[in-house]
Order: sequence, then C-alpha cells, then structure tokens
Amino acid sequence: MEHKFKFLAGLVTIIFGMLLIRMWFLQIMEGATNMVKSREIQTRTIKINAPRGIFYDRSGNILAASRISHNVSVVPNDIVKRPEVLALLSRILKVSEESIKEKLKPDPKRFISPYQYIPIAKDVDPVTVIKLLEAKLDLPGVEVDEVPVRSYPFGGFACHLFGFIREINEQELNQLRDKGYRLGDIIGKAGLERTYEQYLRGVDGGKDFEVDIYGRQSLLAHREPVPGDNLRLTIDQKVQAAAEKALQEQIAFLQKNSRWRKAASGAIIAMDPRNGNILAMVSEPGFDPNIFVGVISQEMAEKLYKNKLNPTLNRAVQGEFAPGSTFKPITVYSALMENKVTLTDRFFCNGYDSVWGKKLPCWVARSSTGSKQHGVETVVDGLKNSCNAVMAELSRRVGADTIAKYARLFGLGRPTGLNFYPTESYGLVPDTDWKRQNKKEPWYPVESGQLAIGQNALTVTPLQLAQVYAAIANNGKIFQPRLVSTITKPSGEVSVRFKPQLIGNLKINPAVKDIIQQGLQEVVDIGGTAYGAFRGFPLKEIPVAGKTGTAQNPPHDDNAIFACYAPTDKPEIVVVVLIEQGGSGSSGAAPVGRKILEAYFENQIQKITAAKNPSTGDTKKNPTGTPGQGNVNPTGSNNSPGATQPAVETNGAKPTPKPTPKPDEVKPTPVPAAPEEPVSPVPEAGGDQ
Amino acid sequence: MDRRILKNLDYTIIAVVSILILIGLLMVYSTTRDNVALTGGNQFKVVERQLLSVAIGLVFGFLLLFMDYRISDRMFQLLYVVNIILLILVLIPGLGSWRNGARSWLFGFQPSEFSKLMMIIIMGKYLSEKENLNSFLSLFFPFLLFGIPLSLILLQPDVGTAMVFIFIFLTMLYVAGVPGWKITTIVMVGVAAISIMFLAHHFLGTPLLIKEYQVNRLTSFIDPKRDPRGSGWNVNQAVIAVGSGQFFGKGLFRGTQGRLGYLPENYTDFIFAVLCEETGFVGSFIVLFLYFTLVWRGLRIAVQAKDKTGSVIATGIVAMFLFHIMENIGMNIGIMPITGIPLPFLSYGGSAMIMNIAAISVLSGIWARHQKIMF
Repeated sequence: MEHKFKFLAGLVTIIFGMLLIRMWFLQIMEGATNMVKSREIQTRTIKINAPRGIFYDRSGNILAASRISHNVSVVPNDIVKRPEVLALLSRILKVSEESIKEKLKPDPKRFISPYQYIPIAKDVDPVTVIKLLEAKLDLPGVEVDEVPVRSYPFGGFACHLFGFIREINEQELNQLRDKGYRLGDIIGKAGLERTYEQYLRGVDGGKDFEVDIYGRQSLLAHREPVPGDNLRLTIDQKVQAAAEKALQEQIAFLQKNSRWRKAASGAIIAMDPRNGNILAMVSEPGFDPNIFVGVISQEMAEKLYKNKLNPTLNRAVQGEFAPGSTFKPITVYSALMENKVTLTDRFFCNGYDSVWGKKLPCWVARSSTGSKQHGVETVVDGLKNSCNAVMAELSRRVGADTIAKYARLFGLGRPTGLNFYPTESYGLVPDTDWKRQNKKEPWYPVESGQLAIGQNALTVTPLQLAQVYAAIANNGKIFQPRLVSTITKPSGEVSVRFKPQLIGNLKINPAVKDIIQQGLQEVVDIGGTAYGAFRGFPLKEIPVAGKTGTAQNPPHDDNAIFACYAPTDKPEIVVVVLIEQGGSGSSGAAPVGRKILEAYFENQIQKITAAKNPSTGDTKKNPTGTPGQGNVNPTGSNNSPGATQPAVETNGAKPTPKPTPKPDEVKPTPVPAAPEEPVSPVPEAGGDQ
Repeated sequence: MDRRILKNLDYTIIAVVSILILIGLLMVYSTTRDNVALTGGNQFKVVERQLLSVAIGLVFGFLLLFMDYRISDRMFQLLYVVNIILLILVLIPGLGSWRNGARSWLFGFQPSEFSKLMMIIIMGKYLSEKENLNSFLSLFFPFLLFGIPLSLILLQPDVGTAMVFIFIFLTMLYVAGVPGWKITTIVMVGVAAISIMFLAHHFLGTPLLIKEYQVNRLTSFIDPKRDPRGSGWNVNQAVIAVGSGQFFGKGLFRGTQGRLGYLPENYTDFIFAVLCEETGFVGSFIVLFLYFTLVWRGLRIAVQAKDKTGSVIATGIVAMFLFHIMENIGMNIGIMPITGIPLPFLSYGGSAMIMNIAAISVLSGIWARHQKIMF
C-alpha cells in the first residue's frame, strides 16, 4: 500500500514538474517571441510616408518638393481568403487577380507578413481612387492611402544634380534594414537624393490598429510622420536654367547648322571661385526624374537605358575629357613659376613647331583664313592665340614632369572632394613615370608638347577644370566644390551648415597671375579665339578671362571646350562648358559660356544696356547678336521656373514651365554659313584654336 | 458528531479551493465582461451564474459532508442505476442536447460530470470489499461494472471524459491491490487495441469508433502547423496567449488574445491560457502551486484514511483532479491533445463546479473521519 502511494506521489511530482517546465519555456524562454506573434496577429500598421526634404536653390526657390499620390494597399490575409474582394479589386484596378496574388505571395527572400498592409498599386489615378472609395464597404482589408511622393516641378531641370529615387531593392534592403528601411520604402538612387538620403528621408509615421478576429479595427496609436530635412543648395536656379537651355539650344544648332552633326552631349559647371559653391551643374542628355517616382513603362525604360548616350551619366563629374587648350594656362604657369619664361621672351610661329615640325602643328596652319601662322609672339600672345608652337617651346624649357607636377597642384588627377553620388572620376595627369609603368614605353619628347597643349593621355572632368580656373581666378586658393550650403529641419532650424572648405592654396604670385589673366582676357577680346562668341559683351564693365579648347578625340569629332571666369578684377563665377564632338571651343562651346555669364550678370547687363541706350531701354532685345543664333534671353526672367508655385500638385500633372524646349521642337532654319572660325579636322596632332 | 466533523476538516484544502474559486470568478469576469453576445450587456452575467453554481455546490457539498462515504449495498445499487439511467437519457434525441460535437447535456447539466463522482464512490465500495483482485479473471466484473458507463460516455461521444474515467479507474485498481505490472499490461493491451483499430482503418478501411475531426483535434497539438486555421488554431492561439504573458503578464483584464476573439472557449477550456496571458508566469505559477497543494493533500488523505474504502475513494478523487489539471493545463500549453476537459474551479461550467465542490466535500469527509478514536 505505502509504496503504491509513494509511486503516485512521484507521478504527481513529475506531472507538475513537466507543466512547470513547459510554462517556463513558453513564458520566459519564448515569451518575447510569443509576444511578437500576439502583437502581429492583433495589430495592423498603415505606414504614413514622410515627405522627403525640399530642395531650395541658393535664393530660396523650391526646386523639388512633394505631391500627393494615391496608393492601394491590402492585407494579404484579409484578401486571399475572400475571393469576391479580390475579384472586385482586380476589376476596379484593371489588373488581373493573378498579378495581385503574385505581389502578396510569400517570398522566402523578402518577408511579407500576412497580417500587414502590402502596397499593390501606386500613383493610382483619381477616377480609380473614387471607384475604390465608393466600393470601400465591399473591400475590407483594402486601404487607399494618400502618400506624399517626390515631385520635380520642372521636369528634367537639374536632373543629374537631383538624381532620382526609387523603391528600395532587395540588396539595399538587406544592407539597410538596420537603419529602419522596409520593403516598399523609397530611397535615393543617385545625385543629391542619394548623397543626402539620410537627411532627406525623414521618419515615416503610421497608424496602429488593433484588429479582432472578424477584422474589425480600432485605432491604437497615430504617429505623425516627420518630414525630411530640406537642402539649401548652392545652385542658382536662373544660372542652371540658362545653362541647360543654352547647352540644349547649342547642341540643336550644331546638329542642324554646322558640320558637327554628331554633337549630342555635353556638360556645364558654373562655380563660385570664392567658396566652391556650384551654381550650375548640367549634363546632356538628361531625363525626367519624375518618371522614376511612378511605374516606369517599358517604352520609357528603353528610351532611357537603350540610349547610347546614357542619359543617366553625369558628365559634369563622371566624364573624363582631354582639356585641350584650356590646359594651356597651367603650361604657362609652370614656365613662369620655374622662371623659364619672361614677358620679354619672343616666340615665332610659322604654323608648325620649330623642333617637332609637322608632328606638332599649330591650329593656325590649317585655318582657312588669315596668314596660317602667328608670327612673332609673347607668352601672353601664346595664350591669346592659343598657339601650340609657344606651348611646345615652353614644354621643352620646363619638361613634362614639371608641367604634370603643377597640373596636380591645381587638383587634376584626383577627385575634387565634392560630396556627391555618383562619385567623381579621377581624370589622369600623365608623366614620364606614368608612361613607363603603364605603357611600358619611354616618354617621347613630342609628348611633352602634346601635354603642354592639353592632349596626350591627359584627361579632366569638367568639375576639375572648373576648379583649375577657380584657383587661377582666386589667386591660387582652391575651395572644395559643394552643392549644399545648409541642411535645415522642417521647423526651419539649421541642422547642418557646410562651411566653405579651403583645401589648397597655390599662393599665385600677382605678377604671374597678371600675365595669365591678361592672356585669358585677350582670348575673349578683339583677335582672341573667343572674340566671335563674346562680340558685344560688355567686357569693359564685366571683364572676362577665358580660354577655348578644341580637344582631339579620334575617331570622333573634336570636343568643344570653353572655360572662363568673370569679372576678372573680383571673380564671382567660373564657367566650364564642354560639348562632345562640338567641333571647336570658339564656335561650339564659347557661345554657351557667354549665355551663362549673361544670365548670371543679367541685372548688371540690363543697367549697362539701359545706360547705353537711354532712349529705348529695351532689355529684352539681345544687344549682342551672337553669331549664327537668334536673340535669346537665356533665362526668361519673366517666366523663370522659380516664380511659379511648384510645392504640391494634387492632380499629379507636371507644372507647365519647363525651362527648355526639347531639341526636336526647334524649327529647322537653314543657315548655310559655317561657324565663323573654321576648325582643323585633322586628327593626328594637337590641333587647336 | 456533526460538530466534530467540522472541527476535523482539512482547512488547507478548503483554503486552497476557495482561492482557486475566487481566481476562477475573476478570470471568468475578465474573459466574459466584454463579450456582449454572451452577457447581453450585463458584464457580471456569466460571473453571477458561476457564483450560483458555487452556491449550489456549497450547499450540496455541506450536506454530503455528513453522509458517510461507506454506502450501503442498496445505496450502491441505487446510485449505479441512477447513473446509468442519466447516461442513457442524455443519449436520447430530444432529451439530451448537442454541444461541441457531443450529446452530453441533459436539461442544462452534464450527467457525465456527476457520473465521475458517483462511479468513484461506487467503485470505491466495490473494489475495497472485493476479496481477490490478483487474477486477470477477477478483474472481469469490475471492468464490466465500469465498462457500461464508460461505453455510454463514448457514445455521446465524449472522448475526454472517457479518458478521465479510464485514468480514475486504473488508479483506483492500483491502490485497491492490483499489481503495477498488471495495470501496465492492461494499458499496453488498450494501446495495442487502439493502434490496431487505426491501422485497420488505414489499411482495410474498417470504420473508426470516433470521428475524423476528433482524431484531428486529439493529434493537432503534436503539429499545430499542419492545419493552422483548423484543428491547430486553438493550440497555436493558446500557446501564443500563454507565452505572450511572459513573466508578469499583460495585466489583469488586459489580455488581448481572448478579448479580440483569437482564442476561442477562453472562459471555459482555455481559461488557463488567459490567466497566463494576463498574470504571466507569476500568476500561473501560483495557480499551479495551489493545484499541487490540493493534489498533495488529497494523496495524504488517501494514505491516512481510516479504511480501505476511504483510501480508494480518496485516490479516485485525487486521480480525477490530477487528470483534469494535467489534461487541461497541458492542452493550454500545447503538450496535451485538445479535449473538452475543464480546469477544476477555474473554468466556467455549472455541473463541473458543483461536482468538484462535492468531490472536495467527500474528500474532506474521509479526512474528518480518519481518526478512529473519534467514532
């Protein structure tokens, strides 16, 4: 008897022990997991997207903001078990039931909770929204959300600068999950949208509902979204618009009215040399970043990605080009610094270099007009005439490695340090060591001459070239280029302020600078290579220092380059223009540079013109008459994009004032005359003008 | 003599049961107050009905306290016949009514609940008076005596209660003198028979004695993921409720699994899950400890009972409580099959409450009479 009760007592202890262990396991060991499960089953969360930060230009004009879009989300669990809801939804949205199911399908790679809202349609048109709202009672588990989406009111305006946004992809999601990114989130993919993503995205809000087994919801919590921080850009809307318009028009003009029909792409950088502020950054061809916000159609995707010119490439920072003659100031600078040339030195140009002869002709030898030689020149004339013979002689005196050394001092061959995505290209400054290591060949003497005229293996990005001219303009001070001056919270409070960063100082001797600047000023003045483009520009009041470049680019047509700064006494703006296969710097690129300067100095020019013609005072009329082109008011100050109210457009339509017409909208006007300065098409040596 | 019985009661058991009943009323209130379909607007409606059952149970139990557990032969026959008649009546369509897939209700009470206690008292008398229980042959009549009500319960069909009956019967046999190895053999034969039944069903298509859904319900706790919306649902939801209570619980009246309708039967079969959800490991440990005290005390009464009849009956009552606790809590925490076995004193249910209080009364009576010098 006794032992039987002992056995029963043991049995009781074991049973209670097992229950206790199991409870410990469920409540303590797995308690948190079960808590999560319990929460997940019973709560639904609707995300409220935070509006992305606004882009302002340097004077506070809105360049990119948000508009309201309608998204449709469903709870997979509520939909899949109710076929009639799925059928109705598919009818209203005009998509097949299968495609909806496909979106809700559990995917082992990306976790979709069957209890949470999953977006199935984006940017739904207003008619569909009304239909959905009318059928709301028959559509349990279907939610139509008003979502702020990015809107670029001026279409392709500054597209490379802004970049674009897109739904986060799997790879990014895996990397950024810890930073709070979730499936369906929007993320900046390029440009400022990507570079400043962490500031722009804001904090999404949400509504938490408690849901009972019948799907009835009651609101538990409402979290307001926190909009992203706003960027105050260094960009000047007027200059940017003028630059885009001028470049597009010039390309269209070249294609139609010149031998340079292959001209189709280019880049512009306008920068403030005093602080590195980028005033305009243009790359052609461009795209409309708005198309990335919604659903990209096959047609649009093909247009964008099958274009050989690659519209998403930002040529202003990624493009590497031979600078051609725009490099010559560095050659002259190295000779002056090494005391290998004085103002009294005389050079002679008979169309070819005195030592290398036909291996290094001067562009003037192939000129269709004039004497086919520059004759006796000073070093200043060498810059003004862009004479290759002078540069070749200087290269013999200084040596390639020394020129390369000075080129690097100006920042060539390495990124400028601009905080931007896509990251900058490095460019290349070749020297004898580089050749030996990379080509396994010795450096031939004539290559020094090629380097001196900005050819050989030398490449720069437009941004680097702008930095070089900014350094010259600024007596050697080199500022790190920047695009954003301040980041402000939605409340207006400044969260980050970027100060100008002085990253180098060449401390250019004033005497040296005067020589170079004099040469560059003569380039745009009577007899200079850019005189044609700057004829009529008020150079007295706004003195300009510039340099044209025609870089050979075999087997393609020559690239047209123009770099300048103004006013020379107190430089405010540096402009670099590049047109790929644009023919010549003087007729291809310089007119664009002029228009940008006109836009920047618009008010001053108006005053000057008014002072000159007190009777008419018509500022609309282009007083200069750029050759080969009609009167252009580069900025269109009356309908400047910034004057409109782009902030939020509820109907999803794009704002009307686009800064530029598309090239194909330009009427073909048969102008038989070639650009006034003919260009040497001969590719074999460093021709230039 | 009456006053002496009251003086010699085991007040520990009475205190434990009182606390359990109070906790039960609290949990029934927590789980039903927001269920308008059940309460019709009066938050206390279900609690009031439970309280009524407690009152009836107390009166009934008080009376039972003064009735000797050693019943006469006539009483033995009477109880047995009443028991069988009730179990037959409940099977008659029109008299018995269906609930939860079984015909177990007769005019608002469950005869099978009372049948447990009646059979314990009947078998207690029979087994303790039987001289010889050593041969398998000698077990024939006890099995017959027990097998008739068991078969009637299986006809309802109420598999859970049938399992309680079997457990009670085997435990009582063990204490009454049947050697352990024989009990083990009987269990093995039973398991083998059930296995053969299933194998025959699977391979030969012979009919199962229970329905498919019952098999699913009984086996779903092993793998609730197999049918998460069907038979596995309750297990999953109960386990989530228990686990999500964590250490201190979500707070009394603040459980969500039951209130939002995810956990069905939350005021009856799954009330323990709600207790765990709302009071956490702390609360559920206290309740488990109270049950352990109840069972432990019951065993002590069985050991120290004045005679063999008292000992066997007390063992039967302990076995009944033990099995109810193990089975109900076990299914709440996902380690036992889901059957409609209520948790003593906590689950809502009139018949069970009255019968449980009565059982405690019988147990107390055995304890009160155990000192021979008193009589």
